[in-house]
Amino acid sequence: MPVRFLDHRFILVTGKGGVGKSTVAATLALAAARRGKRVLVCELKTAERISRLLGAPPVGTEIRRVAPGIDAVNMTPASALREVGLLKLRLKTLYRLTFENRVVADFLRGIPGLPELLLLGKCFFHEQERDPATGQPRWDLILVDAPATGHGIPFLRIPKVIVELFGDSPLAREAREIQALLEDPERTSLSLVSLPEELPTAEALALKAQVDELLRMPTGFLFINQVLLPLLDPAQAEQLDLLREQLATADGPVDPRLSALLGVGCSWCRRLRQQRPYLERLTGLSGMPCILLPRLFATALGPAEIQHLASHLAARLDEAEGAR
Amino acid sequence: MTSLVRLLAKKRVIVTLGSGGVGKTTLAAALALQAAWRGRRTLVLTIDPARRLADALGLAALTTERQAVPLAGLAGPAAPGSSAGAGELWAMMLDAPRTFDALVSRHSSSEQARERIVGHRLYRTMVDALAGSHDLAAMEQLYQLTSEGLYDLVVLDTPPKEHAFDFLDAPSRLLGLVSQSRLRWLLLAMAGEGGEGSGLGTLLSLPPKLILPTLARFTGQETLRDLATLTLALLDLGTGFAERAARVEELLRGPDCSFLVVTRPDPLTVEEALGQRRKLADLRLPFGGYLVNRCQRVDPAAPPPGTDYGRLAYELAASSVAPLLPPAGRLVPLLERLGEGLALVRELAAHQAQTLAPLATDGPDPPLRLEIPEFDEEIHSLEQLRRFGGLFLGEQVEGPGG
Repeated sequence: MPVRFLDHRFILVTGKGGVGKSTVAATLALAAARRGKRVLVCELKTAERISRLLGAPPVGTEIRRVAPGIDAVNMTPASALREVGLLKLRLKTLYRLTFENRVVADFLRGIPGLPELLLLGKCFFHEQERDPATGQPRWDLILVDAPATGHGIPFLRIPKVIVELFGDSPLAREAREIQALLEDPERTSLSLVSLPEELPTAEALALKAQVDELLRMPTGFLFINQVLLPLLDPAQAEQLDLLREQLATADGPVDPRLSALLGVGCSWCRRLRQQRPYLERLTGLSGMPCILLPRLFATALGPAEIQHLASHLAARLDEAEGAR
Repeated sequence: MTSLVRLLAKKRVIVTLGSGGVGKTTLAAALALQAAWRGRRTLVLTIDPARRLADALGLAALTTERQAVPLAGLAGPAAPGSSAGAGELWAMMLDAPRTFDALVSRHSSSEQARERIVGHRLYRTMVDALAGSHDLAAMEQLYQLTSEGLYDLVVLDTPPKEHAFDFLDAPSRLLGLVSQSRLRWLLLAMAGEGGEGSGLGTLLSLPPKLILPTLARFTGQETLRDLATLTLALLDLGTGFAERAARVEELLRGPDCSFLVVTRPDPLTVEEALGQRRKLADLRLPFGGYLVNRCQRVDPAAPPPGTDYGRLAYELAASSVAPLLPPAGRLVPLLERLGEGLALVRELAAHQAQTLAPLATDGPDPPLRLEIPEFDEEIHSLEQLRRFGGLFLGEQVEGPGG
């Protein structure tokens, strides 16, 4: 029996900018917390979103509680370097003199992949973290909001690249451990987020191919965000079309209120028609189980919307995994 | 909106900037097409376009070679003050690895020096897999395109990054690196070519014999040496490289360039847009205005909130179109349902107006701000791309026609 989705220790959510990755991460965090999990959500050097979605003030680079059972942190390479550095060196002064030296800092900034490795290393560190008193993991679930750029997820390729390039160095040994976590289906699950639109669909499918070929990571769900639900039932939609045709032949003026209302209906139907092929492609071609999240008519998503989405998502998860 | 038209008519470089997923690439193409349509020789340099956009531009595939986009098939009236088709539209995609290779070749002092870089075992990884070079490559490409003088206007779409500004910082970062003589000392020591007594210790405030082992504990000795030799080789590309970067910076800061911040009507993206404008100011780069993509419009003729749809149906039944309407028993539920849709759309529009308010009051002068209504069509053709551009440049747009 495979591990149920929310019982993984290390869940990564990825997708291109603008598809609602953070919304999905916040929703998953809430759904997991509702099942009694202690969750840490990690955002990576980005404009922080999770705290606001869950109705908390910004957290920054220090871990803070954002909702019952949910902690969050927005990591930067500098903060990760400081922590990893301190952990390894144990000597604050030496750390400062070495890593906060401007010349050294310039050099480190230029090392390819180092920022990404540092961020991943910090996520990994939190997965390993244990309560010193009880020996229990500090968190049940580490949820990483992982950005995808260009043609893939450079962030997740880093450990492998480092291992290939740097063979036996301490850096590579660390990278190898991280890689083992990333490939462990018992602990780790990578989910994708997309929208029923052209570019996000193509990108999601390309990402999935990359995950399969290059990363070989265990995958979870494809979350399709902002799915527009029908306004009219099929009979009404037909009526709308008929009425539009009829009115096009009218001799006299048509009441502008009626035209405007029909316009709303037509625009809605057009958008439904537009999203359909992408929904079909995503569900048919991704080879991943899909969970659809409804489009909400609000601009500022906040705790109320996330609560709503979390209930919706939990129900779909239960359906997909067979409710107990 | 006339002021965006003016930017398109006068500038030599327009850069679209914005968070991921806001529609920068499509807007860049639409703007370039408008400029060409209005008579300018225009090139759009794009990073990662959708298949559909390449199709719309009439290109089998958007490649890294510049390609002419045939404007002849475009219908509709010419823009005022120009003759349609007088301009040209060219499109190309950025090829970061190749541009970067060319850059290295150009600035290497000798074939040997070039080999030291291109043949380095870390070089390909750095250029191919780990990006970052994208930024420099875009800058380099921009430099080449503008200095050739073949185009009146280059529209540059910025890399799809969380941090659009890595890109803008690229030239100055490089300049900073090259001018860092102290960094060179450190690297020499790492590569095992520098001496202990070279004065490095005083410059670094800590002797290299202490720094290097500490760094090596992270990276390993071998790695450190590799990284140092590559960085050194790159630094040896020397001043030509830096001068070029400085000239791009000058161009971007000058009066011929304008940065348009593309955003979407949701609070976080708007906040990011405000941040992007501030950052432009910090970098002394010219801000042209905000383009707000995908705004919800409500037909002003739409029935107001609280409309009694039974009554509306009754009134319609008394109008001249009465014979075309279905019986009230079917019409009223349909109108009511459409009314519910209208209420949602109206709610969204109100949210958006509130969300966008900070853009209007940002800074001493209200900036150029264009709200672009959500385009109901998918853009599959050049004609649709032109209509989309016309939509926000104030041209009369006919309906999509079914």
